[in-house]
Amino acid sequence: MAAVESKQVDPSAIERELMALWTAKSGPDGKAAMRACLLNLLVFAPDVSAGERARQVMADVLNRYPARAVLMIADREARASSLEAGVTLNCELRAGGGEEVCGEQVTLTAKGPAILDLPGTVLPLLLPDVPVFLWWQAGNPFSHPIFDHLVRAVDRVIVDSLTFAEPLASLANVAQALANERFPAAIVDLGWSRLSPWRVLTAQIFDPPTIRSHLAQLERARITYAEGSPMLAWLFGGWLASRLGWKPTHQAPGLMRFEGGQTIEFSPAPAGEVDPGYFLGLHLLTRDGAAFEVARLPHACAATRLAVGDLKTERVVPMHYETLTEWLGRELNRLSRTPLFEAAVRLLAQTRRAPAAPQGPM
Amino acid sequence: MLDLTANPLREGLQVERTPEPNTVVIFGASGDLTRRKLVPALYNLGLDRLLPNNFAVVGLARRPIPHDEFRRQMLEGVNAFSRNRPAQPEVWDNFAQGVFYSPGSFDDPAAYRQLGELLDRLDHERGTSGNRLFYLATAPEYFPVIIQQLGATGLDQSLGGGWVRVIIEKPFGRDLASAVELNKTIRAVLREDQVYRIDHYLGKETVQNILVFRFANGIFEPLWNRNHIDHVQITVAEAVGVEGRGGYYETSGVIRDMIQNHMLQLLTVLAMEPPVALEGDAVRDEKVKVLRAIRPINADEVDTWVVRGQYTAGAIAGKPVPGYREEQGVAKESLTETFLALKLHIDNWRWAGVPFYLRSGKRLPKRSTEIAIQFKQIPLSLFGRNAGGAIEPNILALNIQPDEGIALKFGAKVPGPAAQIHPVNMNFHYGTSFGVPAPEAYERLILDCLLGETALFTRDDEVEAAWTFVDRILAGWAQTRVKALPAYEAGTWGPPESHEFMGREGRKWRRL
Repeated sequence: MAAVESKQVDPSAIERELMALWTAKSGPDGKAAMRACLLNLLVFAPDVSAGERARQVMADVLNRYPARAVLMIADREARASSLEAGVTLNCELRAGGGEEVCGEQVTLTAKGPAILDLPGTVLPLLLPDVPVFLWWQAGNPFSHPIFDHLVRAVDRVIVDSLTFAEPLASLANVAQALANERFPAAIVDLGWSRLSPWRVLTAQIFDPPTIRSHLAQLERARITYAEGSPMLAWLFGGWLASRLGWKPTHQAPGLMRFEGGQTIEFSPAPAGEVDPGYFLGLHLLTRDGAAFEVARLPHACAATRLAVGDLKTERVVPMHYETLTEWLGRELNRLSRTPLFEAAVRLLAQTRRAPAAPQGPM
Repeated sequence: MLDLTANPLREGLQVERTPEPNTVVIFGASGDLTRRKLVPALYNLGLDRLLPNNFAVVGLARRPIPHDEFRRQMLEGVNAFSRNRPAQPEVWDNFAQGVFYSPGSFDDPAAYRQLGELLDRLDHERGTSGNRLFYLATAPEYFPVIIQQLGATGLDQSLGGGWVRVIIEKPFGRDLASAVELNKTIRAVLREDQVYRIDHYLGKETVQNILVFRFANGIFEPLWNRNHIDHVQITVAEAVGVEGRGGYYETSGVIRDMIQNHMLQLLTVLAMEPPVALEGDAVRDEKVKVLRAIRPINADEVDTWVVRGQYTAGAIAGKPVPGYREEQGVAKESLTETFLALKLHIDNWRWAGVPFYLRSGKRLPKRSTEIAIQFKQIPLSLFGRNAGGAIEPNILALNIQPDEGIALKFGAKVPGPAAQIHPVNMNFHYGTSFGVPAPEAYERLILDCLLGETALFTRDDEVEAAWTFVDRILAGWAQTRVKALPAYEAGTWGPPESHEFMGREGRKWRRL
């Protein structure tokens, strides 16, 4: 990795610094390092420690997805107002030798009131003709003063609902933005992305038509999650209910009720090997006594189990893709909206508006 | 009312669908292919969560061994050859619970009855729903008898309303007559939509990417014709020799081992017209049209259009290796070709006048499979003698192996006051993009078969059209009596005759 630090905040100066890095990378024979750019990746880290975590993830992600990346670190604690820039090339030697493939990273550290200057510095740095992703590394972006300005230049906003301090209120913000036709970008959620393999495992159970017919008989679902934020469990429940056409009628702590008498129960359990809030399992019961289960197992495995009449089977598969790098990488591979996520969020928003069962709010 | 004609939970997921419950039956379970490729491929599909909950594998071969011994052998295969190795204990233990063995001779009806009973039991105990894939990983002489026995014992149909599919390994016949005969045997028992003739080259990501490259990008297809393309070179180079399979290779040679199947398949994907849809018969309809449009090389023209060669002792990567005639199982006066170069024309509107040069050989300097499309030279150079020599034509190279990728060569100005032009390469490497490892060809093809997708398998008429072309060359060789083939030292790019052949065309083979 090559690095040149500068204290310039003029975007054209940053471009010149980058060009100087590219020139320095050229070999003595005049052969340049291979420049590759799949996308623009803007990353907003709300504080210095979040910035460090983001930097580590970016180093890994950018080796796989060569990009122009701009890391914005907002140091809210600082009293003085300042904006500093640094530029770096992230280079990866291609397997088997050969050319190095390099992506560019600009790091902007804004202190105090200068945080508000970030959009004006970032937007001129975007490369044309490749998509723009904004990864809001932690928390709810919708109330942040620079978000509105940034999002106008962005194709996809990547949030992480597992980091929302106030899940219900933040979910409402997301639902509102999704409902707003004038909102300029698609919204995706790393929390939702974390659920992707679990949704696939669940769907696979019902691929055979003979098993699929049991979906119409589903009566109870229990979603277990590692103690912490219930956000992922809610999203999973929102997905299941929206796909099955269930209409919410009541909500109670840890419980949703639907028009057809179905229920989804959300149960926290000790986290064990995984991070707080992560999905641990799904248990489905039908009116005719069939049972289906998706469960996280130790040693990075998962099982799907069926018990339908005499037939009882278990399948064990690995479940090892769970790093932020992987989730973020998957989202960088896609450009379209995620209608299933949006439907799940809409259903959760409807549930929130549903009358409370005697026990109280969800 | 919930509509369950499709799985409502499946919509919008990246993995579009997984196969229905099924059992894969491997004939030739004691063979190398099963241990090295097939079971590792099935295990990897399981690892990638692409197999259904209700799944089983049954191996069938002559030797009577217990289920557990077969499982142990397959675990050894996975540990030695799987792209994900060693096996993950929790996953393998669960996978192995669905692995069974059924002993018997391929011509013994009792073996099929016993197999049928086992399959019925698995349908009941593991919910495999009567869906069966029979994988014929045997020597080709057993293909007819296995298919006839499947028909005679009723295993060609599933009583429970499930599907029955058969994958047939190469070689599919050893000439046109034997291929036609084999197709006839197959048709007497199975419908064409039950038959999956495998050519593992079609399972490679880059080969599939040719379709994406051509039909998902607006800029290339307008250039993909006689107006812009000067010629095409397709190379399949192997550094290995016959690897202890001298006996087989003596009956095959490079023309049957590589040209008739893999290379003509590459050619069809490269040269076909856009299909009306990206599905089985639509794609294969277009591929077979290419094969039918290849101008026949008549027996008396073979020496003009085709160059053969045979390797002698030499060195590969500095290590001495014996000549072909010194290999085990090879006749001392063998006339089997280990190298072949040929020129062909596709006589249709798109390709009229564009030569396609194919070359393949064993014991060449390195393993490399590449399709190179050389575009026509510019009509007039504006840059004169100062341009640094003749301006080189643009070349689009599709690398199939070992490093899958695409490269475009074009001329660029060297900085400075002079108009000096230097060729530069714009490369795309699969290994450095997408961050997702490509699956093995066998994984993709087995999965496609389990899903009932036929586009990447060869249809009966394709096989026969390919043999029709190759048969004429074989007939020409049969007429020409030679005492020895042009020799090339192991570790070189074929016999001098191959380079002279290109020289006469006013061209050069690409240096790979």
